[in-house]
Amino acid sequence: MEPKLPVEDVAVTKFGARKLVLRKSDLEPICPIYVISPNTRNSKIKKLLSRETVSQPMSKIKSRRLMALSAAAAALPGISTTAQAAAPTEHTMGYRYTKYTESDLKASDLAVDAEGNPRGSKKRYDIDVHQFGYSGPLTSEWALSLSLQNEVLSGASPWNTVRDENGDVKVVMTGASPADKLQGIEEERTDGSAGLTYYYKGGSVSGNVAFSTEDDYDSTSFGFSWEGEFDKKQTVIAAGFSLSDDELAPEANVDKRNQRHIIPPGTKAKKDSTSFFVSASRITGMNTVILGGFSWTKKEGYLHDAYKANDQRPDEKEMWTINGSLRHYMKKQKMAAHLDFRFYDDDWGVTSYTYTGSLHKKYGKLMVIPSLRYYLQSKADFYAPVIVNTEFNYFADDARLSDYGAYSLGLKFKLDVKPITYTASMEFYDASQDLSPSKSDFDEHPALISFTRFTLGADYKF
Amino acid sequence: MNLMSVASKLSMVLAVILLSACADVPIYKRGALAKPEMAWEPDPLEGAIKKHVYYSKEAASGGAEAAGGGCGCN
Repeated sequence: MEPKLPVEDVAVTKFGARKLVLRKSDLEPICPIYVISPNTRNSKIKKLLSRETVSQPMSKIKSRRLMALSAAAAALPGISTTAQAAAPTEHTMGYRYTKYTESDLKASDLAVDAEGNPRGSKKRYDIDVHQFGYSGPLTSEWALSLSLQNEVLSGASPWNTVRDENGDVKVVMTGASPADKLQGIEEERTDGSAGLTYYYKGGSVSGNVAFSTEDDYDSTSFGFSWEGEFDKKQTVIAAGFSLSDDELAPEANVDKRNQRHIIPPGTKAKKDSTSFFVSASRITGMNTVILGGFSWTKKEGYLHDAYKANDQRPDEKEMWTINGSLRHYMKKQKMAAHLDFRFYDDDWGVTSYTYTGSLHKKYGKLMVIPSLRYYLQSKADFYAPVIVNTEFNYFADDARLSDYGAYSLGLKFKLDVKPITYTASMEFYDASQDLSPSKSDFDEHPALISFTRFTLGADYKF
Repeated sequence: MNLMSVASKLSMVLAVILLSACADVPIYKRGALAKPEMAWEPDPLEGAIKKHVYYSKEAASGGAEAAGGGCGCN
């Protein structure tokens, strides 16, 4: 049976073969390379012919572009963000600039001293991020990926909480304050990673090393992962693990007031992390693919937040996640739908659900991507909005360990002007106890954040 | 969460995947699946910054891949 494809033109080539010219939009989803022999003038057409194959000698039919199409078609998306079951055939260099801005703390949520002076700054983090990335083939079987990121942040962060005379929770912030002499934060962080992937028939193996460094924190990690294709490449099983070795040297605050866990000068605290994942993805139709996975992570060592007055956490933490994803393409609308779900649980008492959805709609060279994310978490066992008793083994008044919900709205534009793709995106995020459907035992933590993020960038393919 | 609970949830996920594995889609019909916008993460660079932000500001993290190193994000 002949494939039934929309045909724009039927003609006879200079070879005497029938020439079928397909509309590009219809051709792209059809993955095989269509080749027709000169002797097929009167025979049944078994394969379809694209513009590339007609206009070039047979020796050039395996052009880079066609190979890329073919390879991409045979590949089922893998578990990792960059890995795929077929080796890349193009080099991609990318750059992103991100401006991240947290909303100021409300003046009414800031604690005041006996004279009525604010205790710290209400100005929260402002972060500038530059990212560089590269991925591409080294040979037909080996591929390399590199990334480098630099971020500079400034602003103030919550130091501890107190109750005012009305019993309301107020936040003492870091930042210029004559009363508290707490410093604001100026920090620079750089991280990088390098990954190498070997592709063989039926799968791939990858290894990567990564580092992250800042004034008071250094992290080194490496990971290894494997992907295998099964059942005519319709199922991909993936598994991997990673180890990280982190060293911390928290700086003592200027007045060293109440700061716990000070590391003696010249020494460093340790934090180790071990993690593994397993996942399976499956093509369930010509337009749909799904994925399910499980991950486990254990952290050991110094897990306190050194820059909080009342923060004493266990020195071990185990975390599990179960995640599911769906990608569905709507041909008529030229639109891809993404749905992602993650369930998270840890032995500190936090349980969380994350739902993310986005639509990728194409208008010619422009792609418009609206997205929505909803996040929900329960509190840690040792969390309280205000710590009044530090005799317990563990305690924390960190808003990030409280129970709350958060939503995020995103909008992104991608303009594809080959060989460069320009991107611009924005995101608004807001966290609140009101966004959680469950009733909390505690008052809302006033330091829950809202932020906006703007990202601009470009990818160059060659 | 105990091991049995984890195992039961994992089993459910795998069961859903296996039960849905009834269609047989030949390679030449997988064109839509090969589109860049159908990737699990179509924009790895922006995906990395988003993950980093959520990691820094929320208690939950991880999923879909092995966790990397940490940061002194406070």
